[in-house]
Amino acid sequence: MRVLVIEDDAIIGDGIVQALELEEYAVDWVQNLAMAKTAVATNDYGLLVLDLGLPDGSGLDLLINIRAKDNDTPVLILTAYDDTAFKVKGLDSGADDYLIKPFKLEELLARLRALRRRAGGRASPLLTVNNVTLDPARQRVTKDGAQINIGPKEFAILHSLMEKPGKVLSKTQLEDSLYGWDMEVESNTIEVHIHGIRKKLGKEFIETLRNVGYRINNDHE
Amino acid sequence: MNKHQLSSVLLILTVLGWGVSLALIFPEHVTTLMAIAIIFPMIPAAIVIWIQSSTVPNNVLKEINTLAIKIEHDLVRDRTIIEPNDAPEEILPLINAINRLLRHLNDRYTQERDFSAHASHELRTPLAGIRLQTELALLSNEPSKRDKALRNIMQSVDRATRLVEQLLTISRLTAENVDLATEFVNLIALARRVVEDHQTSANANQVELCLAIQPQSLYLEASEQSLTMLVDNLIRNAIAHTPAGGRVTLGLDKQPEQRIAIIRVQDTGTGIPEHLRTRVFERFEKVDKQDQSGTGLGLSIVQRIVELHRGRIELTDGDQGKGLTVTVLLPKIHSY
Repeated sequence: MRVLVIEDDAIIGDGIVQALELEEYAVDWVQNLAMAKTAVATNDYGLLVLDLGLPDGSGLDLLINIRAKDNDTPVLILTAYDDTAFKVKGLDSGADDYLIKPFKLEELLARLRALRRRAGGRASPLLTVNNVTLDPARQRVTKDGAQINIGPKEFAILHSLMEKPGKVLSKTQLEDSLYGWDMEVESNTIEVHIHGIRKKLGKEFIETLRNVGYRINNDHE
Repeated sequence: MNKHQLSSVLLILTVLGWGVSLALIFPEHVTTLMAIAIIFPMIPAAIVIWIQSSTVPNNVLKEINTLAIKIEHDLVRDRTIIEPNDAPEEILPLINAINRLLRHLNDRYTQERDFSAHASHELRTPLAGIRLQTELALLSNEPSKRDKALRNIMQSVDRATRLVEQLLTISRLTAENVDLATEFVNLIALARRVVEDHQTSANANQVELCLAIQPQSLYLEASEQSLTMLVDNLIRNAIAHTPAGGRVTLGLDKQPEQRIAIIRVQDTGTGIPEHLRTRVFERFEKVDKQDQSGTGLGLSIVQRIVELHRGRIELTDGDQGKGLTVTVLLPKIHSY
């Protein structure tokens, strides 16, 4: 999943990017409102982490702006403003969650997982398709109850595909969900990772649609 | 004289007037008339005295009582301004005085609240950085990543420390009674010291830092600690906002006739647009919003120090219209 981090402080921004990359999010980081607007307009993000006090204006402007355009990307406001009035205003302007600095890393990550879950229309923290279950919090995959060893990038791809069983994701979409702007993408990576997943979960678990993309078939549908 | 007093005097004068006229018309009854003229005005006078001595003061007392209850119950808690409404005019000055005090308290309270809200916001940012980078350092096995996190932590700690120092300084300087503890300050020695302190950071930023001292000697009756802080803040700002290859000059001069010392910090940096030159003195105001090292308090502190020394501060364009010149004029130089 691709996340946009809008944070003007260099040390906090750098830290959030590192932390999210450890959880295999693809992260783009911008430090002002103007760049955030461009990024949102030109990319498809799964989550937004939004600071309010930006050098060229308030993060609320961006939030109101994207909501007015029917963009329903989950937004977590991450700010040093701890006043209740600010929280209420942020949430009422279309934010889905509000976290105050300083914050605990595990809490930020858990809140982002919850937002991602809710955005996928699920309440259960586990993703299950057929006999495969994926646990986003513990980064674990089981098949018929047995744990499968799976690489972090493979996990990220599987997570994206299992969120929407039956839906086709193109190679570009999968690449976008794996790599932020500053990361090098090798041309055949997706194929390599898909191959790896199939070896562990069975060839038929992921279906290839030639020149279109990949999908996971949910037998029960 | 109030309304009651005026009306009773008029009444007495009128009745006396009648008595005198009747005595002139009927001279044979003059003694009777005189008696009437003396006794008659005493009746309304007695009534007026009775009203004044009982009813009116009672009203005023009652009103003062109500006011006291109001102050006790509402004002101490909410500090709402008292509406005079139909209060007797005798206690209006009291109400006005209390309202002035309330307005002063309210202003003070709002200032304090805004200040602590701002201060907590400003402090949370470096603290969030410290917390986050510490967690990352603990998570990482790579020495290079850990080193980077530790350097980030150190930078955040420095920033928080500077912020706390500046916050303490500004609250100390804006207290009701500031004791400046003035002495005779050798301004030239002070300037040399501050410039020396900043030479390393100027070199690191590739900024040339120089001194331009006109007078042979310059002594000033002032607080040495405050003046050091003043010059330090101005030089720090100038270096921070001057790109590599630029120059920062600290100049000293005097106007012996008016006993004024002139401190001038000139840079070739990014400057401050004219319309923002009054705003920058406000607390937490940063012209360069990208600036993360500054606290937004430096110029507020400088301005307050100038004010406490009854001096003046001016912001103008820098050398040849580039950058910024800060000129501080301070009175009370001493001629040694």
